[in-house]
Amino acid sequence: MNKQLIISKSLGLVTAMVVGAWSLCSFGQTVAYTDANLMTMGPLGQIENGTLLVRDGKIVDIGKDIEIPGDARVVSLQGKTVMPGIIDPYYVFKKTQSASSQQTFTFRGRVFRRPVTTFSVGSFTNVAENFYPYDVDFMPAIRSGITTAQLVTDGRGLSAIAQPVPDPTPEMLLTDSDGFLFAKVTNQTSALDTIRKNLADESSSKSSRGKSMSRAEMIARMRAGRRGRGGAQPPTGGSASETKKVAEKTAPKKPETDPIKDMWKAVREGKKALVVNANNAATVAHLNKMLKKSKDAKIHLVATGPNLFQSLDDIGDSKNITLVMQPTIDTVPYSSQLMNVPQMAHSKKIPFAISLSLNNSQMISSQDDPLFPIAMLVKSGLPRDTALQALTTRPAKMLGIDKTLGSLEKDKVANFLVFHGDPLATGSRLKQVFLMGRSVYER
Amino acid sequence: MSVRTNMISTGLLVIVMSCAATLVTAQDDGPRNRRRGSEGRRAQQREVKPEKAADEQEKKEAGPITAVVGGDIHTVTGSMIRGGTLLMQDGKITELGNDIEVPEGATIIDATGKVITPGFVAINMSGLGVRSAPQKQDKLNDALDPFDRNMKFALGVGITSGCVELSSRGGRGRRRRNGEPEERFLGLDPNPEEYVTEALLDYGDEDTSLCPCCGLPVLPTEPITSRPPSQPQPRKFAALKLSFGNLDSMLLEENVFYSPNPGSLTGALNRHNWRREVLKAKKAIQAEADKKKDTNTAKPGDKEGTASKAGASSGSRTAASSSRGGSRINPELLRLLKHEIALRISADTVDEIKDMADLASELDYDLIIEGGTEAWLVVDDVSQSETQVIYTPRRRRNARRGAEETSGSHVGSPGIFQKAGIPFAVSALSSSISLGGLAGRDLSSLPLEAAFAVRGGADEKTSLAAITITPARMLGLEDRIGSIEVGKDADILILNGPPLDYRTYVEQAIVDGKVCYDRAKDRVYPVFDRE
Repeated sequence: MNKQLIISKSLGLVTAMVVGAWSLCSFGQTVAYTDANLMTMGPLGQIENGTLLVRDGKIVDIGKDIEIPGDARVVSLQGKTVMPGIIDPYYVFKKTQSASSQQTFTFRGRVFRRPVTTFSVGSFTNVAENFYPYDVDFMPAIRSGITTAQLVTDGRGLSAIAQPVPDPTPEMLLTDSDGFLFAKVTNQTSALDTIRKNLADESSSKSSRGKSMSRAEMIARMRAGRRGRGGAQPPTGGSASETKKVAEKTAPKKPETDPIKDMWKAVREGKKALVVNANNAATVAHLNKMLKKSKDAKIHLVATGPNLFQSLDDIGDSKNITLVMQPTIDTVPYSSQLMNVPQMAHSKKIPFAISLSLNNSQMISSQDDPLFPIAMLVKSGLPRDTALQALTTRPAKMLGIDKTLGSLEKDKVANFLVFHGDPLATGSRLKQVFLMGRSVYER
Repeated sequence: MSVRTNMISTGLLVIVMSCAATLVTAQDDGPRNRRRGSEGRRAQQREVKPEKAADEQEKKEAGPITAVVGGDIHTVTGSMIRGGTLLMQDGKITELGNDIEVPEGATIIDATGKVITPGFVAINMSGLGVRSAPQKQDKLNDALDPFDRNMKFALGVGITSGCVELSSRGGRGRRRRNGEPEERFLGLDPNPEEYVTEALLDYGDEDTSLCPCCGLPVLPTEPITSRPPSQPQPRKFAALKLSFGNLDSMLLEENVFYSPNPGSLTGALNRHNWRREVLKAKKAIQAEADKKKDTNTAKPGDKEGTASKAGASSGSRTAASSSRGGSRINPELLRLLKHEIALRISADTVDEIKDMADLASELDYDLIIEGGTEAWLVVDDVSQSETQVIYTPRRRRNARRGAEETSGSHVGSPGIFQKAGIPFAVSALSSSISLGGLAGRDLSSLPLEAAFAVRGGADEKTSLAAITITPARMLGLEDRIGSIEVGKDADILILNGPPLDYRTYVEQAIVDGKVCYDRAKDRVYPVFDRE
């Protein structure tokens, strides 16, 4: 683990330089956003007619009466509301197409194939290694105000934390923060065992699939030929040697221990959370049962409201579960009654974050006013502060990036959204999205 | 011509072989000392107990007490207690009677004017608590769904536990011979391939090919040979408790029966195979017992020990050789022959019932027949072989023409069984919950079905036992469920009338001391006052 940390730190230096080059447009220039209604989500609370000073992609200062440097460009946001960029704790960027999605069987001596209706665990995907940014369109996320997202697949693997930019490059997309182990499970032995065995003890945990590759290697490879797609496929021609050189430079030695095993150890000890997507209500119950045995493990549980609501009491008891929910008003199963599960979770004091992208169709359909679903939850009983925290500070804390992201504070990264009015008011439009001080989307 | 003589000779051989097998088994049996299945199982449970007790000691001190006060308690195994009090703690019944003080701080459920019975036990249910039968390597414990809506429906009629069949999924072709490739029936599975037609399903064979133009099967030109008879492939059953929302207590026991297909024990060859298999299993059991004896005697002295060690090794060799010869012995078969579980098989006609009863007596195992519509005609055979019956009072079987007196179902069967001392459990016309409703054909008509047993001449007590303690005994779980006794699981029903009345509703179903169904809250059955 230590070795890994060192590597990622040295990587950080490299990437910081690259990033600096990227945000050249605002390099050295201080921009003052004035007269804005600032929802800081931090200790400063709400600031009316406040000023936000941004320089080099960072917030230099924020407050009501702060001195604006003489050379600063002043942008008036009169009547607008500014809030921190939304952090999505569970962004499924790719549906895995595993080989077992079709099943072969014989019928009367003949061979047929049919799509699998049963759940398949899928293979382990290390997102940072297998991520090909040019495949993914992040515009819907950006239009919804998502400035940071934890990228996962719908199977299992190791996540990566990314900043969706309109013109993606691998350097820009993936942040230095370590990813989390994630898995989608259902109540089947094969699926539950992917978690249970690893939570139980060290000896039985399986080694990760495939060779582990450092981030630098991946970047080098991408630069060499934008060919990072094929996994183990080596880049062709002269670029190959270049790739090797860069990789050797930045990652001198591979860690001898299996990093995935180390991560599971961290999960067992409660140092790192495990992200679990539960497929149905029964699975939530099975997970609760599992967590009773391994008391230290912390879990980010992704599930829909109807699957959660019958287990909310158990979840509240366990203390080690943070929920990731959709911003939807659900119906009670087998009933026409409506329920607000985030509100129920709040009243049971269960910490939760909201993922806008979890209900993808909803996210895409409500891009004019992306926080409308949140406003619905607030209107039907969820406290406004809790709802907004569930989009910003809570996921930042969950992902371990709360030192730099999640709220508008001095020295934090300048990821922020500008709304026409109160973000939760009906018809309030998302006007502009800033990522590291740069405007990446304007309506 | 030569072919025919060949066939005849093989047939003769088979008969001779089967005769020999019978002789061997008869000799091997010796004096019959049959135990009831439950005793064997109890012995096994006793072995397990100490571990469990230690577990319980580790747990925290006793939990809160719930008292059900003022109801008329049908204990089933004992006498009725009018206006009695029942105390429950940690999922068990702790006290029961008329003069019991309710301790302070206990939750009191007022059941004045209500009737209290043990939770009903459905000996035959499907599609409850398990969404899909677990595949090969999957465990049942992981497939359980504690939030299955069907469980609420079952609780709504008073079923708090029962026996779920796991192998039945889609009917045909699911039970295959060992080593046979997986075969799927597209007409019954979702996503059928379009070019597999119904015609293929109905007339298809391994040799059948399809016409590329019309999709109809091209009939084979060679004569169709019949398949060799298949090995008895047992169906799988598990006992579940319908503790809605509580995953931990759902699974009572796996593999509660040894249940071969009905066809696999009929016919000379099948029966021969069965006898041979049983014999092999018995030998294995004997070898195991010998080995144990040897090791036990080996302990006292060293000199003797070395001598008997040789014997032990030879014993183990025989066990190994028996397991090496042919396929491995089914562990469930071993349990059957140790009287830990019973053989459950469907048998309806006089012939089938007689055959099964004779086999059970000959090979010495406990038998439960499912169906038993003509059992009333062979009461003596059934009772002598200590056979138990799973009976559905409303099921009908027409008499054969010309044999109206000596075939077909009889409305008075339950009464006849009771008189002859044949234990019978009542099962509903269908094993699953469907939209058939309260008085319909499905599982939710279970108490009503028991009422039909009353109409068939059985006592109300026997009929209530037929959906409580009798099926519990069949499952080998009579020390946990099936009656209201101190020390048993707190699975009780609070009814607003007599248990076998069609007007009666379940007000509350309590499973493991927790209210898992409340008629007023759960909105499963319509709530209205009948005044």
